[in-house]
Amino acid sequence: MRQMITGNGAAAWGARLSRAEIIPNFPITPQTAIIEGIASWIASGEMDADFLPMESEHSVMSALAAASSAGARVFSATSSQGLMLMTEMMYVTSGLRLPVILVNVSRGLSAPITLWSDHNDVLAQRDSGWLQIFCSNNQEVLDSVVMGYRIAEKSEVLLPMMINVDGFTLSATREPVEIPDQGEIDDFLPAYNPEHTILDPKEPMSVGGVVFDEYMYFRSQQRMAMCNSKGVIKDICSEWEKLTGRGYGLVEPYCLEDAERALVISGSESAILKYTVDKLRKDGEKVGMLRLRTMRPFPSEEIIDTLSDVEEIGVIDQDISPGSGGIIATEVKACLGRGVTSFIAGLGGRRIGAEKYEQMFKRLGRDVEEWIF
Amino acid sequence: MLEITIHGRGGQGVVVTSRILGTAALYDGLYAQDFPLYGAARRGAPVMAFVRIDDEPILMRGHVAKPDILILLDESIIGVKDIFSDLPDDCTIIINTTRNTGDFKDAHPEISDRNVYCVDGTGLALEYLKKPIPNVVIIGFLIGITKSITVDAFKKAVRDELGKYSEDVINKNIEGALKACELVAWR
Repeated sequence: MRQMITGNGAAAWGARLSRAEIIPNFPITPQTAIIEGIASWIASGEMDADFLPMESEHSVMSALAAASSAGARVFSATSSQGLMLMTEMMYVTSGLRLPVILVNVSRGLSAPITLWSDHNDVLAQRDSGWLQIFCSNNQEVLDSVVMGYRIAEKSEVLLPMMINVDGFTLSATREPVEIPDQGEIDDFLPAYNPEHTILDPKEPMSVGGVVFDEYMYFRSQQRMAMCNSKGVIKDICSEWEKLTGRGYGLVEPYCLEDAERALVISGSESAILKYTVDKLRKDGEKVGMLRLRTMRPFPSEEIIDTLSDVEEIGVIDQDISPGSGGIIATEVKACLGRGVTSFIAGLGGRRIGAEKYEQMFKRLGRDVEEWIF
Repeated sequence: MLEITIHGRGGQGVVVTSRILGTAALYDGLYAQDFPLYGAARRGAPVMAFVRIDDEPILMRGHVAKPDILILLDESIIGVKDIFSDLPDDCTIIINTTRNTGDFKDAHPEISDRNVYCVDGTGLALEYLKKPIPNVVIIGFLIGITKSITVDAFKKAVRDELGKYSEDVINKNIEGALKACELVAWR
């Protein structure tokens, strides 16, 4: 079934098709429509789940962890300040190795208040031990939620996953999305059968207790799970491609085979960058794009494989770590072991547009940070 | 690619207009994108929505800077926002007003050399719906002027997007729009 739906609608469909059972939630723009959509399906009987309106996002994350510990498949969504308020419990969720799926509809952090997309909220959680996926269109949002449970629930992974949806440019924008049949998804994604942690009064167990010297051992396991996730993500993505014809990976290279200049980007702005690459290629310019789809695990091997032969590289950050620079640029530089031009653009949803991408391609070759207003 | 910008006020159906156009394009077998732009949404406040339609996947995102078609559901927006500057030379402008095109162009010389269509959408809406909500009727004018979407796809899209309303409301909207489409043909 092909329908015009928003990024928020696609996220809600992902949760519905995955048969998420517990939906703790707290409203925040621009995410609220995801939870509203799920609420209306639960009310109409189209979705069988418990809807838990909580008193804060901190409580939402606590409820996600608790319900997942009891063996439920859980889902929620948040944005910006809401994600910040979840922070403390996010580390608990990943430390307990719970396969929670959370959609973050990215929005610039206050102050001042903006409603528009910006990646500082999601990137503030890059060290939280969660898998992080950045979506480029609404179809990818739905697909990523369904694939997300398969990936997160694998015994060699068992990590929570955050799926990033750019506020407004995806969340409120409708585009054609193929909604798979429930039967097809039931075959792809069987019911969650927790083997690791299950809180059951008949067979009591304790989780998250006090450790001393062993703490570092748990952290190394988390790190190992993150390493394992790379292979699992690729496997699940290729299974999904066989089923639906839609392929994904850790990165999306575009026109990089013979590229002399390339821009690295993440999220929905990559569509306009592709348009720009097409336009410049028609003029004979050897330009390309690399979209980072997974931010955690960071796709180091893929970046080295696809960009090593490219002469001039720029990285676009819709985020800023004041006092350091573009967060993604810093990581790409460390990975490649050489300088890149770091462009800070699109903060708080500020329009970038094809003409600005053209400008960036002209300004590569310098290891500097440049703000594109 | 066809790019459409719609201006109006909260409550006039600006967003629904964009959704009907997007859904209709999908029924026509095309690719489409539609989205609204508003701050703190409230009835009566200026609202914009955008539609992109193409026969291949759409890579452009964000608000439409150079529309091929500009629809103005409420002419009082002109006093609030500068909506006519920076329009491309070949932009088709459809304005919901009781004034005729000549009078309108006299009052707004900045668009005197554009394709301007002044239509009394609110009048037709009052006649058919008994309510001053001109959006679906204006889409009828749009179809008559540009043939951007087919009538069959339009009817299906209205049923989808006005699904929460009664059959009677849906039918009257479609009747009003088809009348508007005919009026264009008679010009």
